[in-house]
Amino acid sequence: MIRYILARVIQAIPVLLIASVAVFFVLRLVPGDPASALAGENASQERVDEIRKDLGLEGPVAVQYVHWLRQVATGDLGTSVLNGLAVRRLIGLAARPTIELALVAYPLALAIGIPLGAAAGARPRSRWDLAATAYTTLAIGVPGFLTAIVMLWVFAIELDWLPASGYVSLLDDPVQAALHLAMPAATLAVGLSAVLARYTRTAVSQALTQDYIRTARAKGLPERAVVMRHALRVALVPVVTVAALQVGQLLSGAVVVEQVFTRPGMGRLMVGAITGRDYPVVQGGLLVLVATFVLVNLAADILAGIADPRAVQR
Amino acid sequence: MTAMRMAAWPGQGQERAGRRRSLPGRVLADPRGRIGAAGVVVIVVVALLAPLAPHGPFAQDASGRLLAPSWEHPFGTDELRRDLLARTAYGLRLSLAVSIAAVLAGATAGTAFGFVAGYAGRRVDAALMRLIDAWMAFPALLTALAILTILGPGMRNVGIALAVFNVPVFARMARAQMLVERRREYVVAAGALGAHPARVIARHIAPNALPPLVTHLALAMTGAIMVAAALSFLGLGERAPEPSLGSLISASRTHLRDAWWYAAFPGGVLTALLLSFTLLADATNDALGAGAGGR
Repeated sequence: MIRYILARVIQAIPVLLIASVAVFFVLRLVPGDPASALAGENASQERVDEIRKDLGLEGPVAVQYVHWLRQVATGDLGTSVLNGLAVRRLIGLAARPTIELALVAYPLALAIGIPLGAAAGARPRSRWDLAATAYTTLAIGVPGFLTAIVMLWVFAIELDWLPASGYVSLLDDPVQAALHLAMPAATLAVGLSAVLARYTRTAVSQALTQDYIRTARAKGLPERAVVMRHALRVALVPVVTVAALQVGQLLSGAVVVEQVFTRPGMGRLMVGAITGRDYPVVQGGLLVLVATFVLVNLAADILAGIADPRAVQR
Repeated sequence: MTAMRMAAWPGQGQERAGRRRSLPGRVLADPRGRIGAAGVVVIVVVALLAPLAPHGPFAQDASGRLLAPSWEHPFGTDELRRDLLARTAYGLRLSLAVSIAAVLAGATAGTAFGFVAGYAGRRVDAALMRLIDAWMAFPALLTALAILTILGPGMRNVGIALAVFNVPVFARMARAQMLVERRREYVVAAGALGAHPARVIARHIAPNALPPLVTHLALAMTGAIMVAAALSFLGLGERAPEPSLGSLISASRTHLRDAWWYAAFPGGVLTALLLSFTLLADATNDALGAGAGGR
């Protein structure tokens, strides 16, 4: 098992390195000279050189990369060209609302998706299954921003139950925070739960064809116990992997949802930085998001290996 | 093994009768496949007919701003007295064109990439697949955001971004196909006769390895349409006044209270488009054999 974990960790290193090279080149691939673009038309040569130095654009590319990587390793992600604040600080501020959003949306998605998928998978082609399929098809087919707009329309405008925008921290005022979180979290959870439900359905219906299920049924266990205790347990192993892959969907979804509900967070930080050509912020933000995604998937692979040691034998 | 068991289990798996039909036949035998295919055809026809709309997408000639749907303006008008039917139809046209071009470009490049990796084997394969792993470590929308940072906003660049994130998915599938086909006797025979690897891939392997990749196109289209719409919703797509489904929906937000049709029609068209491709992709996936799983 330790060998498996080590092997997975070692596999993740080149992925992270290649990803870091890609993020590094985002700034270098900008057509023209980003430094003179940032300095504006009437800037002096000294000013342009200064900005170029700040952006780490001096010297051979390989040297720049090593220098940048060394800075990143110490937690220094540079400074924003728009407001002069440290990128690390900006990301720290933006990460909190996004993490709160994810921490509510993700369990909500699991709580909807897994029971729905298990119920559908336990009785394929039943009414339950049809209803679940209709839900997942709709939830996968309708983009998040549209779900969000429909919710805004119903709950914020027609019924006036929930605030249409803004953010309150969970630590400051839990009730207000929950009201502000309800629609964004529900929007994300709908999309995520549909994919989870689909995978759970397939996994459960496949698990139910296995020999140990026949044994469980033969010894007279009620169907509910067969599904819940025997089939679902095994079926959840691949679902863990899918759930981790969905962190990518969650991050992408957060970008859109934060925009619709004018909620601060990583997504708004990134979109604002892209439109404002704030390259250091884009770079730092991308790096943090991609690293999060890779590490969550690494953790999920290790968890899946522990839950089902057969997967390690491959 | 699992597939055999599933077929033997009563009430599960696909009907055995469907086995002999061709893949398109099996897709159309599925009601989801029929609805999806019909939806795609209708939508493509509507997009092609967009120039026949009675008003132009830019003409500010309506008798008032934010007019409710009427015979004159079936989808109503927007805040600049423009006809929303024409704008929605042109937006659909743009979204479809960008997605189709991007998926085809990404699929072609990805397939070539995967074929090379799978055919070369060993170190080349290992190196290329690590690259693909890293590529896939970027979630779709974030890849697109990174590319738009480099290239700047605009619909052409959105298309490039969509193509780029379609590459690794097709590369993986193509490689898997190649690994299977490469060991087949006809490939070994062609190699033994002295055929150049490029010729072996193009003439012998590709015709056998491509069909499973083609079936992934519907799913790739769903992803592309979705991300294209999200990007133009975020304001990173085409410049105003050019309409797209995403930007129309984005513009409608400030008028949600007094003009429901502004959001409802472009939103409905986008939903219909996505649902058609999703249903088609689901039916294709099931027709190919359960357990393949979508990605």
